[in-house]
Amino acid sequence: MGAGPAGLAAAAEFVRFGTPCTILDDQKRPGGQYFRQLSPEIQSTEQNPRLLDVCGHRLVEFRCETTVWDFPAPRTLAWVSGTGNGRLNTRTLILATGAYDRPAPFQGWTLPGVISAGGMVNLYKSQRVVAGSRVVVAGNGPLLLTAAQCLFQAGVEVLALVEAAPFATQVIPQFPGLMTQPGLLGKGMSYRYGLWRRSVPVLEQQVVTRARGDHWIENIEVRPLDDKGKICRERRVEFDVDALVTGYGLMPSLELTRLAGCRHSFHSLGDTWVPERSTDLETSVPGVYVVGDGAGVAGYQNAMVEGRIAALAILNREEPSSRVSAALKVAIRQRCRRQRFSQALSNCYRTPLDYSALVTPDTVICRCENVLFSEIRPMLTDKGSVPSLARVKSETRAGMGRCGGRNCIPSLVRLLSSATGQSSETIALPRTRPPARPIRIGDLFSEALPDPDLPADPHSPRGVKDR
Amino acid sequence: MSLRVKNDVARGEPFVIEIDGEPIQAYPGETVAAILIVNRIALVRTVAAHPITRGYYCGMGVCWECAVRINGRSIVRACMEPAVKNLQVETCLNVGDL
Amino acid sequence: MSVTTESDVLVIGGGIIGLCSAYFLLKERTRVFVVEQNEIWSDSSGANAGTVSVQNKISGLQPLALMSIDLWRQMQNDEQLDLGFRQVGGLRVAMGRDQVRELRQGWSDEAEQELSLRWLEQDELTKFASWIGPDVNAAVYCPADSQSIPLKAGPALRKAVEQQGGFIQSGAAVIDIEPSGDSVLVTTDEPGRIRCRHLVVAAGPWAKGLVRCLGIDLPVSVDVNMLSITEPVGPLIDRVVTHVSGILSLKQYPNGTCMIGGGWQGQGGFDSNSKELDYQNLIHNIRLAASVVPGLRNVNLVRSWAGFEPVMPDALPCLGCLPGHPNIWIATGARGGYSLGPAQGKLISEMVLGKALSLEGTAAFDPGRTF
Repeated sequence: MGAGPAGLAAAAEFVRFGTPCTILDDQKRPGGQYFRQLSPEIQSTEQNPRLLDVCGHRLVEFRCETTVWDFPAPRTLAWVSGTGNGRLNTRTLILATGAYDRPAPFQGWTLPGVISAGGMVNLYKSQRVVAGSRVVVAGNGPLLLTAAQCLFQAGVEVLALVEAAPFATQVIPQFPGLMTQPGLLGKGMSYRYGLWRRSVPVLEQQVVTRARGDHWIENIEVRPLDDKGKICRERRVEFDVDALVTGYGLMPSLELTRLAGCRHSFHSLGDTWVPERSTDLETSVPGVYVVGDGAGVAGYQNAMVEGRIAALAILNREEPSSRVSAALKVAIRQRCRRQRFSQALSNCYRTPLDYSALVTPDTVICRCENVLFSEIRPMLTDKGSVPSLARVKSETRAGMGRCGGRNCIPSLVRLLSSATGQSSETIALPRTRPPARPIRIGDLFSEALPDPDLPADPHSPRGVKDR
Repeated sequence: MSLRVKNDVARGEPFVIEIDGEPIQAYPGETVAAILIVNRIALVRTVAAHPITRGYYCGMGVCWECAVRINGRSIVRACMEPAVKNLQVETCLNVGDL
Repeated sequence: MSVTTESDVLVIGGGIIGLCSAYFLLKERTRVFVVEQNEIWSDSSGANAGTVSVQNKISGLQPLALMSIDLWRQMQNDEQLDLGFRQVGGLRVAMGRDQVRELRQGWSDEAEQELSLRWLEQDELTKFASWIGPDVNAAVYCPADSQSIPLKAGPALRKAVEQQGGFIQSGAAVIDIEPSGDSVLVTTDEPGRIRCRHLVVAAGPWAKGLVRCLGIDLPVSVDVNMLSITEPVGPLIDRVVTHVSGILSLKQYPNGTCMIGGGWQGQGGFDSNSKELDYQNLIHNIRLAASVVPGLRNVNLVRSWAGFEPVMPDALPCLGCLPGHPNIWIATGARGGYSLGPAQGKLISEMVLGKALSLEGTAAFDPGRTF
């Protein structure tokens, strides 16, 4: 499930060993986020990676625009698409659903023209459109460089790159780890060089504290952080912009691993829950594997090798062979190197920023339901009895909107963690409920079902079924 | 500067879609979200009768901030909705005025 | 050993019946202590569609329902509790000849008079409610039928109870009940001990386990009801919809979201403490909703979940004192107990305080009755 780098790499492995597989993806075309394709109606000389061709292979059934919304049974998934709905039973399942931009609320972040880093990259890659002509790229993490690169290719003026981490001082000690992937390191360095060559100011250990504008963003405020992560309110720089690209890293999408019943554990470095996996990347649910950024963000190279590992592990189980198990061993070793790189990269981007400090009373916490921090704060002030996340959700409606809490639950976890003084791990998450994402009711009519088991009629005594 | 990149890009023949009753130019292969951005159209909607202003944010179909109504019927994500000739888009989802 | 708290009344259960009981007792200046094993409103009351109707009740419950609707309205309008209560009127629908016949069988001149009912044939129904689909052949309109917003009602009742001097303790499960002379000693796992002159068991499905230690076997069963809610949309459903066979409830909240219910059963149960969805029943439930209101086809479903509902075999509540225990009271087990919460709470408060009851015929709810 998922036709991004991880899913496609898994499929390619199955194809290599002559085994059929089915790929489901909710987009029109394969590629996920990292390999997002340009719309075919828009021409460019840029080539698509060969890996995308695997979806056209005769052994691969590619079902696009298909949304998986629940797991009625451990390896039975419920799907819906424009053409209908149904269930799919499978012996083994590889979840490769990727990650999404971590929400990091600040004053004015919901203004039109404020776009997530991933969103900016997607816009450029899929349609060669940019969000503005005077843009600041701000936040934390390597995705900001990718976003800036897209803007450079588009000829957009990047007024500054604002990075919350003291990257320049943190990168040198990480070189040994970064050298495990010289290609990626070179790419990153060329992106940094590109900033320098174009004289784009790189403001490190600084954050955007405010976005202002009427119906569209017009202006931002940038402030430095001290080494303890406190925002220096006295100093600020302003930029007049017509778009702000904001990105504070990625988080794995866990709706499906939760609905599938996988066990999760807390990954403090990534400040996120991740599904527990064996060395073969199988979860606590037998037959269900999770690979790529959907199991913990570590980049596309790691995603591809993980896709291969899961596929090889599955092949090895079905029909053990020395060829498969040798390839599996090699892939597992490769993954170690990828993980080492990704760890080093994360270390470069460590920031002392306390995300809760960016939040002002009028900051929108839940975008869908427009719940402001001022509505949540009264519930957090009594340290002795800080409410559960479930209670904050039910009393403020935060987390009840269409996005299913993706854009606010992580923030609420941080806010509650600050209020209780305890780690994010202690904040119990509300139960994930289907559908994994909103589905159109009219799309649920095509599946043939046996006659219904009607609820008891209140007008007949219990135990008597009159239908 | 146009927000449609020209460098190493060739687009097909433009056509017209309708956004809030206004005819707006679109190119083949574009999503409604891209057209909204290019034309700087903000999405002003109500949440429980309270007006809010939103726009494209995540670009991958998970945040629903780009939600619009198409052809007078369903609410969809503009970032996943391909623009087609004569598509009718309403940006203002007035809900909760009950 | 821990200190024993003294109270006039201890209420076990922080759902609608427990909080309403506390609310009405507090009005009479009684000391009330509420103990709840999870969080207030975290079980049946919190997993509820919020229908407050009289039409969808069996005849034995209709007087209680009418009393309850009056109390809901009073609490909302006169006493300023933000329960989200609105008397929007309700349509009880029938689809197909058999169902229309059943709807007509339930019709009587007295009911028509008492509840100001209106029979709507298909063409009149279309004029009355254009959003109802052609699969619905007839409906009965009842102006008293209402809806509430469970998410608001819980915090509102909790606030009202606390403001009136009631004490609520969450996260404390009762592990022992010991009648002792003219008082009752209750032990919780918090740990804590409370001595009260009257004990009210408003613990829903957990009542059975609690009264077992008093030698009473309560034949309460627990349904696993599924609910679904949509994204917010513009005005679509302006009455509360129920169904002649009780298999559908529909309403739209002020924020535009639409709630789909009807008692379709999920999986799991009380013994395993699991409330899971049943895929097929869920799809059937949603398809039925969309056939009654075709406009729902274009609406996105946002969340589905399941909750417990405790029910006695005859669908009537146990409302009164436990046999052999004149100071231990129970209120649970009515089908549609959420909507009947305020009335049950009021009656319990009257029973506990020995006052005249606001409703006749409560003998039918005697917990000691033969089932």
